Amino acid sequence: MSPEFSQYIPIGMLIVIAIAFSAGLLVMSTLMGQKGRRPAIKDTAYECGMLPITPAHGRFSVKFYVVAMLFVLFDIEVVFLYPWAVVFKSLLKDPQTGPLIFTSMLTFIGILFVGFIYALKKGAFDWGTRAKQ
Amino acid sequence: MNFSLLKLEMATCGLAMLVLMLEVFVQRRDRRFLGYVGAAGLLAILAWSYCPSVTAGGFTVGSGFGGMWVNDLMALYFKRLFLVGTALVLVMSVGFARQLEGGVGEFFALLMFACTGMMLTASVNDFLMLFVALETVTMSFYILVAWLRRQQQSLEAGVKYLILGALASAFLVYGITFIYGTTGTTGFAGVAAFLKANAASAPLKIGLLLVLAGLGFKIATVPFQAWVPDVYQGAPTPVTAFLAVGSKAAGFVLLLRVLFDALLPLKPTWVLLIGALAGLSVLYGNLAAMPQRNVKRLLGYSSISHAGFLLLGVAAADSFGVSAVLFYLFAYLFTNLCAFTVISCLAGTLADDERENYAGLAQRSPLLAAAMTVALASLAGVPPMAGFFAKFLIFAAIIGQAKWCLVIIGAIGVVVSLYYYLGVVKAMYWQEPRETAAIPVSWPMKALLWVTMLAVVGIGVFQGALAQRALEAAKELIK
Amino acid sequence: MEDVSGLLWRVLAGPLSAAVVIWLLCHKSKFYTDFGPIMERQAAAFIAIGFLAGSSLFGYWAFGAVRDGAQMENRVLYEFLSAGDLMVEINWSLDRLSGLMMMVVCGVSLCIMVYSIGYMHDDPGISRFFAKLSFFVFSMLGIVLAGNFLMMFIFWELVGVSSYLLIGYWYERPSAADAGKKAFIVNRLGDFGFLIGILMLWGITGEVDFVRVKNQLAAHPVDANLLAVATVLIFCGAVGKSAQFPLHVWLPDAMEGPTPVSALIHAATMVAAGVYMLCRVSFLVFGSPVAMEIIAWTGGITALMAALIATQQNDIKRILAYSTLSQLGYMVMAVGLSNPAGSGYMPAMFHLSTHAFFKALLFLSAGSVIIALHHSEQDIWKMGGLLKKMPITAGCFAVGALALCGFPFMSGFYSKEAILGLAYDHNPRLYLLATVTAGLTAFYMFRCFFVAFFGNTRGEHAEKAKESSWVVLGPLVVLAVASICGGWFGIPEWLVENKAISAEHAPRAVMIAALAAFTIGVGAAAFLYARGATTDALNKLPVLSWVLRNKFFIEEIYMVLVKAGQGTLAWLCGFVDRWIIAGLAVRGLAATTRGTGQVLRLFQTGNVQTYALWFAAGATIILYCLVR
Repeated sequence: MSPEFSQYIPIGMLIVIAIAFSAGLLVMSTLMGQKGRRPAIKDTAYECGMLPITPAHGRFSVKFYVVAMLFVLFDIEVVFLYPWAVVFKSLLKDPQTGPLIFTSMLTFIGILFVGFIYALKKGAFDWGTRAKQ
Repeated sequence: MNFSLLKLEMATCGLAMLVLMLEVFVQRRDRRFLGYVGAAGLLAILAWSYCPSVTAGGFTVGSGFGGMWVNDLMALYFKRLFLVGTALVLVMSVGFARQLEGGVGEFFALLMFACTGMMLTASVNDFLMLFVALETVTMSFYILVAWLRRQQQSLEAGVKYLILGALASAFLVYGITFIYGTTGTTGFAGVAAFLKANAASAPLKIGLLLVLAGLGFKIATVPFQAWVPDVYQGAPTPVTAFLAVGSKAAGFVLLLRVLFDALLPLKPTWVLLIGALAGLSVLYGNLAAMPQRNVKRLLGYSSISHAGFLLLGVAAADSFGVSAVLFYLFAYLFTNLCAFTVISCLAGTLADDERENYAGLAQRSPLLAAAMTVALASLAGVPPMAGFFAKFLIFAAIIGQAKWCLVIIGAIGVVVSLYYYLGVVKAMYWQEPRETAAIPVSWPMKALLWVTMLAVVGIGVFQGALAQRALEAAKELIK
Repeated sequence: MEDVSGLLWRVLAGPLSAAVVIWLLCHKSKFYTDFGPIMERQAAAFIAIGFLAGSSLFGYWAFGAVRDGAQMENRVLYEFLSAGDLMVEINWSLDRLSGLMMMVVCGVSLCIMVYSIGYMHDDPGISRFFAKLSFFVFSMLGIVLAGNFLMMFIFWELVGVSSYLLIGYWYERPSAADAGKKAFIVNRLGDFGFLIGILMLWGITGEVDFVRVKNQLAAHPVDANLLAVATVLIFCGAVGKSAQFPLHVWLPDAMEGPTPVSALIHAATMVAAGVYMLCRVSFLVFGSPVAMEIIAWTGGITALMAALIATQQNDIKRILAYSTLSQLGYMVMAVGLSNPAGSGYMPAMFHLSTHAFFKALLFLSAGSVIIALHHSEQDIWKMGGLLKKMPITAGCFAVGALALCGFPFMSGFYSKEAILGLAYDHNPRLYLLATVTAGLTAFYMFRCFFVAFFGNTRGEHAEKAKESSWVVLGPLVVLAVASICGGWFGIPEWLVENKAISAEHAPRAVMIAALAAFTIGVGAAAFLYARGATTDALNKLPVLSWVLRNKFFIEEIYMVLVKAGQGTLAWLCGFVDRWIIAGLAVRGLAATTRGTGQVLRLFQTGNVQTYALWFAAGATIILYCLVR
């Protein structure tokens, strides 16, 4: 097997496992599930408890947006952290780049940390009434 | 990588974060003192930038970060401009705080984050860095413009600025991909070397033009000016002032860097282009301002025309022309801040910024009327105001290049502009006020008015030192 | 050598500090009420006069130094601006020309300020008036003493600003405010030419200093056409400030200011600045025959046109205003005709000096009449018979009129003769024009004199007229003496040191013709108006008087041109802005906030899209041009 192809083996395995897992679940639910009457509502898609068909202009609490936005922000942080972590060890050995690679990420996380404290103190993570203060 | 090249920016950013943290942790109800903290901090950074250890020790002057970053005299000149401008805008915002409807601390912090971004633009030497720096500025402004979210005008201005700004950013980043695709580099020096070795292909030209369009949005030149009047009118007045002096200057420093560092081999082409845009902007800005009755909108159109005058200096394309642009931006900074301070003083008293409301202002508040007159005279280019010498230098530069067509267009612009600027002066001094109650002016605003007025007259009379610094900076840009 | 430049600083500092002091102390402050009622009213006047008198003393000192042969070395006092090759310093030029002009400005201004105490006696804003007046004198002295083009231009603009303030002094009258604005804008038109001329000159020689430009031009001759264009552009400045055709329209309107202001503007400052500037740059003017031709004809046309218009004006101040225009035309013509090798700019400066005295005298006499009529009547047809009621004023007016018309041995006689002689030698057509103008001058001045002072009183104010007080009459008498003797001081000898040239007189024929013109003019006026006429005799020639009364319709033509040109452009831009940019019906935020309803809200979203379209279309057009 050529080395170019062999690097795709894990992906192939992932696909196989995914298919097997979902197929297995379906088979098991038909075998083991209780059988009874089937009203229409039971056939609708199940999506985390939300009703699939509602008026388009539904109202959400603004807190959802705040949390979503904060999530995206800190998610990006991780995106930056990954490539950094990959080269971290090799660059740390070099005395020229060693301190630099450490301090620059520290600065980055520090800036984000300030933002985190700000969001915390402003009550962005309080879901209850306390946030209003 | 030499982090000391970044120390002014790091200090500014740190100051902004400090203010943000103070906003969160300090219990005091009245948060206006945070503005003074910010202004004092910025002035301290300004003073620091004059320390011999910063300027002469070889620490701050130099280039680094793989050629992405350059700190020369021009960068220093602009950084000081941004620091002064932001400090003054902060003081203005303190006076304006009552209209801001809460979140004062964040407002101040955002102004300083924008300032950090502007300071980054001053040192840009790479298209990627250009995009990052410019977006730092623009993102802050998206929020600032829409700050008065309960007022329809401000909200509308915010949305317009967001959409059109995003469009401009899209142009910019699309242009950068073209440039990278054709030259294989994003560094200014690399692009210049590529252009010197090869003829410019059509895709490269498209890329450069798209970048210039993105910058044209920032400096508000025709045909990228459509957002200006609406946004200027709707944004909170200190933000409008900051847009006019800070954002525009940031756009200009980037334009100068791109034109003279990356595109120098294409000079014959872009001189024509910039000249045409300059002429159009001068004509459009001035003529469209004539029927205008709203003072903030009027200053919006005037800002378009001043972008045109500044571009005239760029179109001269020599060190004298660039020094004229640098001088002009400083003169314009104080002049505009003076005018907008007056407008923000009136924001609580007058119903809106229509010219009729300025009638008889001289009787209601002589100081405000005098400051407005000084500012408008400087904008119109009446000696001995700073604006006169700025225009004088611009005209001298283009006459030196024998661009007579542009001289004539500029002349028309100057004459026309006098008409609508004097219209406001006439309303203030020779029309009867609708109400006679005196207008109170708080002491920080009073101080700001005096500082800017004295600066406008002072730069106009003793312009030698500033012109000298501008010339030194320009000579370093154009070797 | 004594430090003349220090003296000049003090000359300039006097009026400026007067203006500042008055502004600081007397503006809505209770500071000086403690000094009693006299101080309260007149403090500003005394401050202004005191400082100006001090200035005049220093000025006389410097004048004396020049007389003793001190030449002001071109010393740099302060490096004002240095950018690129451009170097501008603050330096003064003091020579015989500026020395004479400085004394004229100081003397006449002093007389006018004293007079103003009487004239402005009942005006509530008297301190504001004197502050502005002092600032005006300061600006004018700045022009006189400036040592380079840029400084001259700055003071030039300051004169424009202060004249704007003074003409619009009675700002509560819309006509005064408009007149101020008009004067400023018309001046700016000329100034723009001036500025471009200065920049061109700087481009040619690389210098802006008078002496260095002169040396540079002498050392490196340049293209004559280029120089002529630069000269004509600089002359544009003089056209604006000295109110020459076609930019003369602001001057008659400037009569809206108080009479002392009119006197100052017309006699010693402002309008004289243009002629003075031409003399100052005479090295430039004399180097370009084409430019001289243009200058001479501009002056000549102005002189004749203004004299014609003056014959049909009825407002006493307007008659004088047009006479000023006419006399300025004379001076400008004299500059254009002058003989560089011979008398140089002497005739023009000579006439400027004598004119300063008798025109100030005429205006102040007219002002005295206006005081007597309680500031409510300026129409000469509503006066009449004032000779008996106010003999001293009438006498002074007569002296002024005679001097203006060139009655033998009065000051105007000598200076006018010098100009006529010049025209006779150089340009017969202009000579004819100048002589006709001289006749017309005699006619309209004596028409005014006879109608206002002779015959029966024709108005209720004129019935109650009384002679004015000594504060008013004192300056009149001083100026009257100066108007009579002005020709004997030796001004020509002062300006032209070569005795043979300065002693030259015009040919006998010129003198006889001038006297004949004078006699015919006065005779015609006496025949038509001296015998108690109550209406104008020229009413019998309706077309002529219609044209003259409407000043050849020049203002109307301008209005049409401005409306058609600028109005259309402005309308077009407004149209583009309002309809195309803001998207068909949406007028942007202003209209939205006025809540113009449903329709506008429909277009609200279209708004930003239109902007975006505009943005993209612009980029595409540029792209097409660039990549094509």
